[in-house]
Amino acid sequence: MSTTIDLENAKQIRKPMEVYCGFSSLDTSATETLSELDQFPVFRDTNAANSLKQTGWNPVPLADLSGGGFALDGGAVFPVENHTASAANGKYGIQSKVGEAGEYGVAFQVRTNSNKGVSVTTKGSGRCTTEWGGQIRAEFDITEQFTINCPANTDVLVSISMLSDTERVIVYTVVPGVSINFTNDNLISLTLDLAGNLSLTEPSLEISSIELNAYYPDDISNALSALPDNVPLWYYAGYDGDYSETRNFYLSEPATMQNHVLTLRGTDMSGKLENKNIRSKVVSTGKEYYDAVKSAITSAGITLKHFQSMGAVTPYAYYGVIEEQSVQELVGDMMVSFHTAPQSFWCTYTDAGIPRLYSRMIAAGDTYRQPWQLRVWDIYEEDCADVVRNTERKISSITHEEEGEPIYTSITKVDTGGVKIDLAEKGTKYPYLQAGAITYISAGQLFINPYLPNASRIIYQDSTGVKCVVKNRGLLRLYGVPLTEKPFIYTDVPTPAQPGIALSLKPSVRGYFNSGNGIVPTNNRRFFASNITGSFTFKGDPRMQPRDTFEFHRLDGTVEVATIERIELTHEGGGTTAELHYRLGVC
Amino acid sequence: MAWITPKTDWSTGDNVTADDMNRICGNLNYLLDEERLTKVYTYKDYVFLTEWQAIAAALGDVQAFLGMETDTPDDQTSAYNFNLVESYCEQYKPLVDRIRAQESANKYVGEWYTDTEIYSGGY
Repeated sequence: MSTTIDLENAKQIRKPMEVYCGFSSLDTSATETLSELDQFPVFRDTNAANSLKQTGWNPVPLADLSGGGFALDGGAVFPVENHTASAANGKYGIQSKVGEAGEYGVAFQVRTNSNKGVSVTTKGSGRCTTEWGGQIRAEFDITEQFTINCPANTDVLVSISMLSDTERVIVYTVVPGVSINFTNDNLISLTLDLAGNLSLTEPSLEISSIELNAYYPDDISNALSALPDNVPLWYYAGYDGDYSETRNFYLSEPATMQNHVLTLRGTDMSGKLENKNIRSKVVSTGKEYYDAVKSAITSAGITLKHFQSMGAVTPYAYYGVIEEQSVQELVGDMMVSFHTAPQSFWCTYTDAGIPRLYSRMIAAGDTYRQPWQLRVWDIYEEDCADVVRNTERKISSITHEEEGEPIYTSITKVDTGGVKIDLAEKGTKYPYLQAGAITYISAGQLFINPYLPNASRIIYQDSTGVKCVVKNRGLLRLYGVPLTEKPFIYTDVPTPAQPGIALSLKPSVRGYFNSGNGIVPTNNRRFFASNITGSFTFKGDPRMQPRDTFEFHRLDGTVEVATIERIELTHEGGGTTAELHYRLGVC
Repeated sequence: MAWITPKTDWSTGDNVTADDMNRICGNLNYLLDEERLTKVYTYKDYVFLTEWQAIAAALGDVQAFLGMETDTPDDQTSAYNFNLVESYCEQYKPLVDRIRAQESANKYVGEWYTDTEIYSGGY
């Protein structure tokens, strides 16, 4: 079914997209006093001076007959006359009466001990005036969330008069800090760079970014200069009832304001993976691998937003070994070499750059962006400009990084009853077994002698050994099993006489294992990737993201399936444009 | 207390306006034959919980008067509740009208006129 964005995209000239973005940095350490709430006739919580300061108390939509009435979706509440707001009861905030525009509104006086601005959350349309020191300092139309300049230890009178005579103005929160929502009304330009990497040789996890310039009527440069690092920025765009996913970024450099133009720049969280390493680990099923990667990503400080439980997987006869490496390298390699049949690790982007990990069967109604089954977008060359097509030399061979060391196609566990290592010293690192075999001992195979006190524990292991905390001096035994390996054999290696480039492969996982529906990693598939790439400019679509596939309808009537590598989307002057880079085929 | 045809197809996508509230209150007053629900709603108003509960109580009294089992709405702003109130109003109107018509007819049988001259003796 066509959505509103689809219908607008089909037009040669579509109406301007609604762009919503903003950021929030509340100053929880500042103290604030609110007073003089009765300047205009209002309906409010009995404890409004306190409830307005509570960001955790939810606003309660009321059975309000203004503004077209209240909906019967069960969301509105029949209000009570003397409502005391609380975390359990929610809050009404302060609500204006309804009448002549300009006659009614809400007002309050605020004072804080910091210089970091005061953020106000509202509903309805109104004109805000701020006043202190006997002078009116700013006057502007309110948005859903805006910040006012509030010098430290100064009483600032905030008056919001209604612009509509049929819809109330409601103020829900007044808190120290900077939180601003931007819309088309105050945005000057916004550029989004959603970056992926489909390189044949070294696909990596790129960092996506955002830059926005907006007009802001109040001079809040002092408050902006106090913003800490990593303040969250959010963005989405589209049309009423049909918007893109919300993309999340984080402030990457100080916000600036000059001549009422505010500039913000942010990047996504994938940069955090660069300095985060994953420890070596033996995995025998897709679930173990999934859990290991998930743990590595979340331990880098990235919050897990989407989670999918995995069913039990029968272990395969072979093992894969995740070697110690940066998570960024691991995820970059995983994007390429963990696709088997349409059921294995399809990593798509969420949060403008953080991969969404999942492994599941494709089922009817499956909404995951799995390019095997779906062509997600249609793009027509007649709607594009600057269409460019490139070719690269194909891969002719694969070599491995370390001279003389084979790449392992399978690692087999040898179950001989285990190998014992006697430990006696606290904090000492003990190597693994004899030379001549690469031996990895997974956590599941490594355990402390159960007859000793359980205060001892394993704290560290890598490819060379394991380190323990020994709480009690004495003998401690570690049990493990050696893993034997077989040399790697690619099944589809082209003959060396073929022209092309040599791919130097450093796999993130040695050996392979059962992902649940196939054997991974599938390094062979690099030979099947297309060497054709391209780019073009077009009207853009905020729903698109790297690793989506699309059908490119060429002018000559042919249709090519391609994968999006990078999109740079710009909203400016009421219009939207984009530059898209792709690689042919499903990557 | 003029009767207005109730709306009985409320859905979750519908909005309740002042006209709807006035219709509901007016119809209940009609069924009760008294101006019990006196508030005249405008777009400036909220529907307070006490007012909604008074509407529910009024419906309950109509049901009691008719000898019906009590089935009144709860305190949720739901399409179900509004359909319940307005559907019952629609259902009860003909019953109430019939009872009132019967009462009026009874008035003309065996009761003295009090505002008309009475002649006796056929003179």
